[in-house]
Amino acid sequence: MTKRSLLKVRICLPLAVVVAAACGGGADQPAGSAPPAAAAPAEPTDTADGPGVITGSITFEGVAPPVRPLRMESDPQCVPEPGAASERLVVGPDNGLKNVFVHVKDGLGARTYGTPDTPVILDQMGCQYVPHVFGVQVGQTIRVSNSDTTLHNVHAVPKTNREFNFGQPVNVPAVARVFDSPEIGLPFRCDVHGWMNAYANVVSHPFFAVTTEDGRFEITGLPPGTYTIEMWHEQLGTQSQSVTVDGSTPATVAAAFKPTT
Amino acid sequence: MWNRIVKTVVLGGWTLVAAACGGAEAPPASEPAASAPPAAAAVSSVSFVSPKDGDTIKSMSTFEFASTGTTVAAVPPGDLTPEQVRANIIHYHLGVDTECLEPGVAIPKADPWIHFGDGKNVIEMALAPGPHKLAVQAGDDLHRTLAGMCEVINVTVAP
Repeated sequence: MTKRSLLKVRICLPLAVVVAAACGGGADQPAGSAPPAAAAPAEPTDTADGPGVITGSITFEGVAPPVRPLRMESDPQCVPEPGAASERLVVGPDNGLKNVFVHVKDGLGARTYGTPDTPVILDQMGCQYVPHVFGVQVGQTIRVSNSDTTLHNVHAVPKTNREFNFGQPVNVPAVARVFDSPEIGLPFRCDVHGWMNAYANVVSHPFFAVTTEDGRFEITGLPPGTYTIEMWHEQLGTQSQSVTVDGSTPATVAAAFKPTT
Repeated sequence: MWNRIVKTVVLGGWTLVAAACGGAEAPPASEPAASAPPAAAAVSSVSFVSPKDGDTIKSMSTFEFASTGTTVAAVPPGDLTPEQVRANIIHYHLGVDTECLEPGVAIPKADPWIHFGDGKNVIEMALAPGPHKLAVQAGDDLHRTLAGMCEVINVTVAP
């Protein structure tokens, strides 16, 4: 290398680094703007049509707390659904625990799965997010709509994904957003109505479920194997279990969450 | 000779940095950042950085606010008493299709007001096509309006 070309390298290479660093990946894009499309995932190696099934029941240990009605008086346009109550801790029949996000945390190895074309629907209805807890795959579209007759804003506050915040008055079309990396317990809030919250759970595969009011869940389509199942609740924390799926009969999981002190 | 080449390349490089990073994103030198401490002689105000009054915008557009003569900060957690309200510290509220509220009233936690209690100053708005009136209004830690701290703009959302 000649002295002149060496000098070019010594000056231009650091300069390029400075330009890249100073301009930052999206740093000039204001927070709250639409996240970029997720990076193209690796070509899927598998489909979720295996014979393995995991069923389970998750309960609340102890005396179920009283139902806490939501107070929405601050906005006369908010018409709560009959029986509307806080969904932060919902205990159903036989102490079944609702809104636990259950997913395969480990055991899939190098398998990769495609991103569904079908969007996840997140609605604002009765001045609550519906559903309150949901799962979505990395890169899968979330379509957020406003079925209420009042203004909402949809404010996602992730730890690892890109934050967004958009206002959604009545009678505007649904807004699409995606998250581009896995994240459990990603909170959504509304800065108009402080009681409104929801949680997205972003995973890289289709093996997840949310418990219903009786605390039950089912995950299907797994290949036979041994998996770590993680169960997450917004107030009660996280548990995990190892479960072996043989493909001939459903594997079962049972767990109980204790109240937090 | 080599010294001159080096100086030229380095100076040109910094010009490139500035150009590539878009000087338009930076606030004007005369306008303090939203989080800067209040200037001694400044008159407090809030305003829209974008869009501007009279603009025609897309249905999904970014709204950004700024202030002078005051400090923007997140509201402390918990229930505050009037004695705990911090002097000269505000956060923004965006009113959609509304006018400014009178000074001294609590900004409702209801349509048409979006609260920025986290101290931020940017939001996207999905608005229906047609004319809209937007208000940015400052509130103290108890969300009470302050005299002279509101601006209204009119924009048109293109079909």
